[in-house]
Amino acid sequence: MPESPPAIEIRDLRVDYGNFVAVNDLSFTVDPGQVFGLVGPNGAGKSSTLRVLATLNRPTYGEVRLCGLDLLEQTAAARRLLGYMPDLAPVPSDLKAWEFLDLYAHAYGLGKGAQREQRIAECFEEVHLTDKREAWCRALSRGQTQRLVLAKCLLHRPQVLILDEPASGMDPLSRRDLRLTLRQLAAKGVAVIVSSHILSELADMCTSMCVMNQGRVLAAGPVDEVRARLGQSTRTLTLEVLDGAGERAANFLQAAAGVTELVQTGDRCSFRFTGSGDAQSALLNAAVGVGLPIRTFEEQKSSFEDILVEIAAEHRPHHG
Amino acid sequence: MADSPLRPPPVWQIWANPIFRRYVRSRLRPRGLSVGLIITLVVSGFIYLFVPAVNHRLDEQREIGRLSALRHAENLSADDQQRLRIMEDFLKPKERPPDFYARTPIFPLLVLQGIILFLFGTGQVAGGMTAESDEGSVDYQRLAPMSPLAKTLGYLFGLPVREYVMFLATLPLTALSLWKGHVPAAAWLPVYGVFLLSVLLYHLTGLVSGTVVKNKRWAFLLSMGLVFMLYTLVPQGARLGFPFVKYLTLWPVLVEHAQEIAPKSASDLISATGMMPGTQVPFFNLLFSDLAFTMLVQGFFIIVMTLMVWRKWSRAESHLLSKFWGLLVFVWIQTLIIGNAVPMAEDGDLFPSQNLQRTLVGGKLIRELDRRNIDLAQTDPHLLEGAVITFVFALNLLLVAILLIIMMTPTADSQVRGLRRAVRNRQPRIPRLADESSALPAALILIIAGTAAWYGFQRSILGSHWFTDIMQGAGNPLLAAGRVLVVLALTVLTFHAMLEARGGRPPFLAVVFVGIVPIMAAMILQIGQHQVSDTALWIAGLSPLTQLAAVTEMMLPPSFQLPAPYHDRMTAIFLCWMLGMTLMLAWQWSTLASTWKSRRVTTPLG
Repeated sequence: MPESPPAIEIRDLRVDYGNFVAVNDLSFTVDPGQVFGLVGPNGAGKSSTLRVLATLNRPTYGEVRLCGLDLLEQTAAARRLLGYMPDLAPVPSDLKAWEFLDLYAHAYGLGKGAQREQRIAECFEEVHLTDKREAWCRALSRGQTQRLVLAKCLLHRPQVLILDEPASGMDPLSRRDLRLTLRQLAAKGVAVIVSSHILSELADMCTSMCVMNQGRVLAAGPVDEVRARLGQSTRTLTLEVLDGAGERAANFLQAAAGVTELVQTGDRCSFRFTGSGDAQSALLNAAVGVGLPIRTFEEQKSSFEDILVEIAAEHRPHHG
Repeated sequence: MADSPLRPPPVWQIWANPIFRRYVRSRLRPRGLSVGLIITLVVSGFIYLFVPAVNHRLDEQREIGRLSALRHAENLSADDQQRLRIMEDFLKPKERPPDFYARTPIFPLLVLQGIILFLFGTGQVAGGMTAESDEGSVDYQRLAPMSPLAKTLGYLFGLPVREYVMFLATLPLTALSLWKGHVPAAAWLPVYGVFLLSVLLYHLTGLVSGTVVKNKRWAFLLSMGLVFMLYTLVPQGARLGFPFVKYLTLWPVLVEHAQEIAPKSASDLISATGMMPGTQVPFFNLLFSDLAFTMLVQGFFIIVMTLMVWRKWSRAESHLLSKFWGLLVFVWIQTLIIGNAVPMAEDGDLFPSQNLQRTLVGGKLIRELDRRNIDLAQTDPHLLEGAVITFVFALNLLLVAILLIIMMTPTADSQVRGLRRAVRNRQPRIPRLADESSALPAALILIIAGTAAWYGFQRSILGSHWFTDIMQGAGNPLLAAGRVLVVLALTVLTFHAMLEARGGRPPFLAVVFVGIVPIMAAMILQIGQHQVSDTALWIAGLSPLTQLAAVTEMMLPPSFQLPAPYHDRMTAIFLCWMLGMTLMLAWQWSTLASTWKSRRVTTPLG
């Protein structure tokens, strides 16, 4: 049996707005059943990438395939396979929630009468919005609007779901529901690509991710791998020693290479260490060698927020 | 539930079109619809009951006046008795057919229907489309697996659906008037057929302006303004030698069938529009009925507008017209004008004086002249009429060319992207006909085609048999064509270079400050002067429009030209204008060249 193509395949994607390069040589693939996160600060190129994937923007160049279909050549066919939810998803103010879904159920040609009604009810159920069926779209809260648009995206059972900042405006409960919904969809083989500023949530939600900044990829791959790769050069370490040795430990670390931002709190020293994994082992060996009574020596895992703040700071243009 | 394949409804099933249904839902809610419907029913009911009654009453009053005058006739002087006889003839009850009064509400109802569908409907389409783009939900429609045509039709019939229902509400009374008035179907069917065709055209215009204009209010006003102009200013333009434009309206078909629908109003219509019923429309060697020619003209513009919307639906960043279609539209518009005007120039119908003679006083004079077997065209057209028509044609060339340049010129953004795409695809340049390529070659073609069209047109008008004698000793037409070429080239190329290099406002400000303001300033300076002011002449000469007028003046025999010193000064002004514009063009081209260079420099990948 021939191997099925990746759900999303992007090669050398470039998107320009005049002289501004929004996305530069971006490449990645997403397989069916994967939840893929696009992470990056504002202006990283996430929304531009997603709009190209949704066939709404034409890239400057690059190859973009959706389930094997070339987006530039087979746009109409590709559109049948995807569901797209934009950032700050709008809804028409003059329709009721069910009318909004019915409009797109019709547009996607989802059967007739009862069959369509049933699908609309299922989608309301999936996003936990059944009680708002008769509500006017304009009367929904931000989070409810997001969920309604998500329901619209699910109507035609897309094989690829593209969500731009889907959790913005959602309360914690809705976010948890969204997470569950996406996992259920992934379990059914749907490929989900999602961007978000709520990075910790992406880490929980995604199986793999791509960290972008200023249109370029900084790291891509499984979540743990990306986290490890981005956090490896400089990380926060903690050395805890037994009673009374705190001062000696601080003196030792101050003299050690690669150690900065040392903070001593009693018998506990926290510091930033720059160096390879071997250099970190050598530091521990040296501490044992000088006779420090070590209780713990551990690396604090960087949160994604920390990593991104760091990345954004590194790449921010310097003024003055 | 088993997965069913996605089967959007077929394009032709308008009633099943999701976008159409969406607007049926939102715009036909009882609360919103009821107000419009009640107003429509009240107004149409008023027209239906009031208009026949008032006509009846007027006829009665006229008869009472006549009888009263006759009763006192013996007390009048001989002169007054003579006057009374003339008045009596006028006041004598006309022989009204039995269905006369039943027919009187038909035209007023048609006006009401026009206001509803032409004005309100068009405004609603434009405003509604802008609102969709503005709130962002238009992206959802882009993604829906419907064909661009289905989406266009959905908006075209969906957005003004309330206006269609209001229109339908007027139909029972219209049908009753037609039935009671025994109006033959052969009369009202073409009128209502073209009415609906015009509705399509105007609504498509609204759809295009709604797609392009970002501000809802502006889109609404712009599209309604266009329709308003079509029925007010455009018929006047038709009288000034451009009969083709009136076929964008309902007038010709309405006039053609006015006698059969409402005889009493027919003469008023003829007077208002300057059109004669029963005439055939010439197009080169062919003759069309008003109905057929209206369908030809409106059908062409419907195709062009549909194409524009289709392109925008297929790809949001597409230009309204491709380079190829832009050139085709230019050629076809000029062909329509020339093909219609040239045969009319031959028999004199094109000239306002001839037209006026034939339609004076609402057609009453013409009937009187006919009755007395007097030849209608008693005087030849005046040469200045031909000159004005030639000038207006040149003006049309310039305006249409600039409009098409705006549609075909790429923005900096799209051009840079096109360049990068070409480099990536190892192409030597952006494909010539792609939207991203420079509009310079298209501008050159427009200029050359425009000059050729002007030459052909002016030979047909000023070279026609009407002016053979009078044009002895007139300017060399080839020389004049050369000057038109210079004016068109310098104006269009400068505008294009500014637009492609700088984009946005500068070229439009230039149009206002170079094209229009000098003429206004010259008019202010000239007013109150007894002689032509030199300063006013020089200031007016800054505008390309003045230069086009000067070319026409140059074409005329010396006795029709400005007095010698002013004529010579116009030549000097033209030379200075040409020099100034050449410098301006050189400056804009150097800017454009450096812009292209910088766009190529920023093209290297990575």
